[in-house]
Amino acid sequence: MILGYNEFVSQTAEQIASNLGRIVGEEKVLHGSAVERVYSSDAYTVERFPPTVVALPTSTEDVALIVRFCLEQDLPFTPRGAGTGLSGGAMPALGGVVVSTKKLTAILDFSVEDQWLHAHSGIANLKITKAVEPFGYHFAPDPSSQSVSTLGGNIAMNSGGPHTLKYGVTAQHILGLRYVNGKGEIITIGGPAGQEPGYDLLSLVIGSEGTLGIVTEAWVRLTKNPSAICTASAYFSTIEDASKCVGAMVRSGVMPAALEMMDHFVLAAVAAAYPIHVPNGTAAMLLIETDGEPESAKSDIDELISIAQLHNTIETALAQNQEERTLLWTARKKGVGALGRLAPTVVTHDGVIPPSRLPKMLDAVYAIAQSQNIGVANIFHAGDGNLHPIFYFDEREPGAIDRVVIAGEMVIEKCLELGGSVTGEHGIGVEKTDLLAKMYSANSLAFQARLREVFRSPQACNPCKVIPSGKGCLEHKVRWRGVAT
Amino acid sequence: MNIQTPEKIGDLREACCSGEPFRVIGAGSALHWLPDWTGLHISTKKLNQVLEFRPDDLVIRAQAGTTVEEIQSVAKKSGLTLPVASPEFGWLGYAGTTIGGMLSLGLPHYWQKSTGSIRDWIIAAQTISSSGEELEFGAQVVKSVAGFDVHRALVGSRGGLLVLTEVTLRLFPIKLLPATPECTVQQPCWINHGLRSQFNPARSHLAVDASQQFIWTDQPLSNYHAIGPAGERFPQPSPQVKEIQSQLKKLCDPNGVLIEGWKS
Ligand SMILES: Cc1cc2nc3c(=O)[nH]c(=O)nc-3n(C[C@@H](O)[C@H](O)[C@H](O)COP(=O)(O)OP(=O)(O)OC[C@H]3O[C@@H](n4cnc5c(N)ncnc54)[C@H](O)[C@@H]3O)c2cc1C
Ligand SMILES: Cc1cc2nc3c(=O)[nH]c(=O)nc-3n(C[C@H](O)[C@H](O)[C@H](O)COP(=O)(O)OP(=O)(O)OC[C@H]3O[C@@H](n4cnc5c(N)ncnc54)[C@H](O)[C@@H]3O)c2cc1C
Repeated sequence: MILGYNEFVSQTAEQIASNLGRIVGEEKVLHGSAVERVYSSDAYTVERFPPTVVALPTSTEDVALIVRFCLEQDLPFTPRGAGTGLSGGAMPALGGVVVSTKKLTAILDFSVEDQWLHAHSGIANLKITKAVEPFGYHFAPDPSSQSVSTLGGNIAMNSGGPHTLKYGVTAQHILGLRYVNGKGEIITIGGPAGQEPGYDLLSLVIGSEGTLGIVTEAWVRLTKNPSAICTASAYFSTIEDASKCVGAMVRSGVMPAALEMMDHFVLAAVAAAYPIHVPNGTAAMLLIETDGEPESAKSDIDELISIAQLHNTIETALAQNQEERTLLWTARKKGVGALGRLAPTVVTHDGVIPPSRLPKMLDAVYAIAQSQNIGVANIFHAGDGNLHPIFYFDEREPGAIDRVVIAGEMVIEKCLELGGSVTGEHGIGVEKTDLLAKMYSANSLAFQARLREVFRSPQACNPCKVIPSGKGCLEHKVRWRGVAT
Repeated sequence: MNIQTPEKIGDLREACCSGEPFRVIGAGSALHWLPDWTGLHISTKKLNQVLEFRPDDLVIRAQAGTTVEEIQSVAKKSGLTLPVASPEFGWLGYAGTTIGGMLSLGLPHYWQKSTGSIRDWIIAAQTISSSGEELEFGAQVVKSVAGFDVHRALVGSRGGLLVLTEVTLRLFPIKLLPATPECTVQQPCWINHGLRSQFNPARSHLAVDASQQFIWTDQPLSNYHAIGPAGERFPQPSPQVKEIQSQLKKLCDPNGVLIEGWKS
C-alpha cells in the first residue's frame, strides 16, 4: 500500500501534530505510518486515503479547538467513531485531520423516570443499553455492529437494525444533540425534553453523515424493555417460499419486532462456527420475533408461525428459552463475519425494495452474481425490504473486484427499478455519491447540498461525502481506489 | 380573505411563484391558532387524489390536499391506518383536515406514546418552493437513508418552508392501535413556557410535543407554571438555533414569500 503525502496539506504531519498537540495536549494527537494505515478507511475498504494526523478529543471543547485549528491551518477534517461504516464515510478523503471520538465515551447523566440518557458521542451503542439494563430499559436502535459502533456514528448514519421494523431507526430515539459546527462553534439542539419550538433541525443533522459538523454529545430516548419476547425460526426449501412468506407476514396485521432472513449460504457458514440446527434441504430461514405483553407476544408469534406454515416450511421452531433465543440471534449477528469462511474477501451491499417485491428481487440478486461469476449470500432485514447481498470472492483473482463492482451496481439498479432506494442503512459516504442522482432531480440535490450553508459547515468538514462539491473530490476519486489493497 | 384554490399542480406552481406573499393552507381549520395574516391564501384542498396505495408494502401516496378522512378510509379497507389521531378515531377537530395541513402543523396526538410523532410516518414528499422549483425528498419505501431527511423536517414547519404537494406515508395495522386512546382529553391549548417535567410524556397522560409547544389538556392553563422550582423551563431555542432556523427559512424561501406559522 502506498500511503503518501498529499498536496492539500502543505505542512508535514510532524508540524501539524506538534502544533495541534500544543493546543489540546500532545497525548491527544497521533501520527505516523501505523496511524495512517488504520485510519485510512472504515469497514468499506475498497477506497482508502491516509489522514495527516488523528486527534483524540476528550471533551466538546477539545473538538471545538481542533476544528478551529483546522480552519486556521486550512486543513480538511473528518469525524470518525468506531470506523464500522460501510460506505467510506469516515475515510479522510483529502487527508487532513481525523477527529476520532474514541475518548469521548462518558455517560453524562440520565433519568430513568423521564426516559432519557445524556452521553458523549463516542460511547458504543451497546454500552448505553448495558447502563440502563438494571432499570429495565434499553436504547432501541440495534445495528448489528452495536457492540462497537458509536452513538455519534449511529446518529450520523441514522442507523437501523433488526428491531427497526417495530421501534424505528436512530432518528426516532434522539431527543437532542450537541455538536461542533464547521466554524468551530458549539451548538445544542434539543435536550432531555426534546426539540425547541421552530423548524426541526434534528431531522437534518441526523443522517447527515458527518457533513454538517461533529456531534459530541446526545440525549437519547430510553425504551422500556418488553415484558415478554418470543423468537422463532422457520425453514423453507425454496427462496421463493421464504420471500413470499415475508410479504404475507408484513400484510398480516401483526407487527413482528424483527423479521430477518438468511439464505443457505449464510447458514452453512454460520453452522460451521456455531451449533445451530439447520434442517436438510433448507434454502432459507426466517428469524421471527414478537414482543409485548406475554399473551399478545405469544399469540402474535403463533399467528406468524402459522403464516409460515402456509408457505411450505420444512420446519418451524419456537425458541424455548433464553439460550435458544441467544443462539438464533448469534447466528444472525455473526452471520456476516462467518462468511469470511467462504472466500478471502466479502463485500456487503445495501439497498431497499418494497417487501412485496422481495421474490423478484432475490431472483435478480442470484442471477446477477451468477452472471458476474462471483458468490453471493443473503442475510438481511426482510420485514422492511432492506437487502444486504454479500458478494464473496478472491480479490487476488484478476478482474474479480471489477466484477463485484459491476454486480453491486446491477443490484442497486434493480432496487431502483422495483421502486426502492439505493441505501437503507449504510449511507452514501463516498461509495454511492453517483447514485443519488438516480433518485433525486438536480434541483433537489442542489438544495440538499446547500444545507451545509444553513449549518455553517464548509466543504472542509468531511469533504467529498454524500453530495460532493468541494474542489479536489473528482480528481481524488481515482486515488482512493488506486491505493486500495 | 383572498383564497385561491388551484385544481392543477401547474396552477398551484404558478400561484406559488407569483412573488406575492401568501400562506399555503389545506382546509384552513387551524388558522385561528396561527399568527394573523389577511393577505393571499393558497389552498391545496382541490389537489386531493390518493395516487397510490400498496397495502402489501404498508405505503400510501397522496396529494397534499387529500383529507385525512379519505386516507384513513382507503387504508382501512386493508386493515391499515395512519396511526395518529384522526377524525374517525374521535378527534373533535374538523373532518375536512388535509394531510398536508396535518403534517405541516405536526401536532402531538393521543397515541403518541405508542406510535410516535406523525413525523415518523412520512417517508417521502414532493414540494414546490416559492420560486416554483419542484423538490423531492425521501423514498417510496419504509426505510431509506439516501440523502437528507428534509421531508421529516417539513413536519411542523407550518407552511413557512416549502409547499407540500404530495406525500408518501407509512401505514400501521389498525388492530394494533391501543384499545383506548392514551390521552382522551380534547382541549387544545398553546403553551409558551412551562415546567418541563409536567409535560414529559413519560410521566403524564398528556399528548405533548415540546417542539410544537402544544398539549392537549383538560386543566386550566394557569395550572402550568412558567418556571419550575429548580429553574427549569420548557425548552426555548438558543440564539444560535434561531439563526440556523432562519438560514433554513432563507434556503427554502429566499424572498420570504411564504407566511410563517410561528408566532415570534
Ligand atoms: C378540538 C380539536 C381537536 C383536534 N385534534 C387533533 C389531533 O388529535 N391530531 C391532530 O393532528 N390534529 C388535531 N386537530 C387539529 C386539526 O384538525 C388541524 O386543524 C389540522 O391538522 C389542520 O389541517 P388543515 O388542512 O385545516 O390545515 P390548515 O389549517 O389549512 O393549515 C395548518 C398549517 O399547515 C400549513 N399547511 C397547510 N397545507 C400545507 C401544504 N400543502 N404545504 C405546506 N404547509 C401547509 C399552513 O400554512 C398552516 O400553518 C384538532 C383540532 C381541534 C379543533
Ligand atoms: C458487521 C457490521 C454490521 C453492521 N450492521 C449494521 C446494521 O445492522 N445497521 C446499520 O444501520 N448499520 C450497520 N453497519 C454499519 C455501521 O456499523 C453503522 O453505520 C454505524 O452507525 C457506524 O458507526 P461508527 O461509530 O462505526 O461510525 P464510523 O464508521 O466511524 O463513521 C460513520 C460515519 O459517521 C460519521 N461520524 C462518526 N462519528 C461522528 C460524530 N461524532 N459526529 C459526526 N459524524 C460522525 C463519519 O464521518 C462517517 O461519515 C454495520 C457494519 C458492520 C461492519
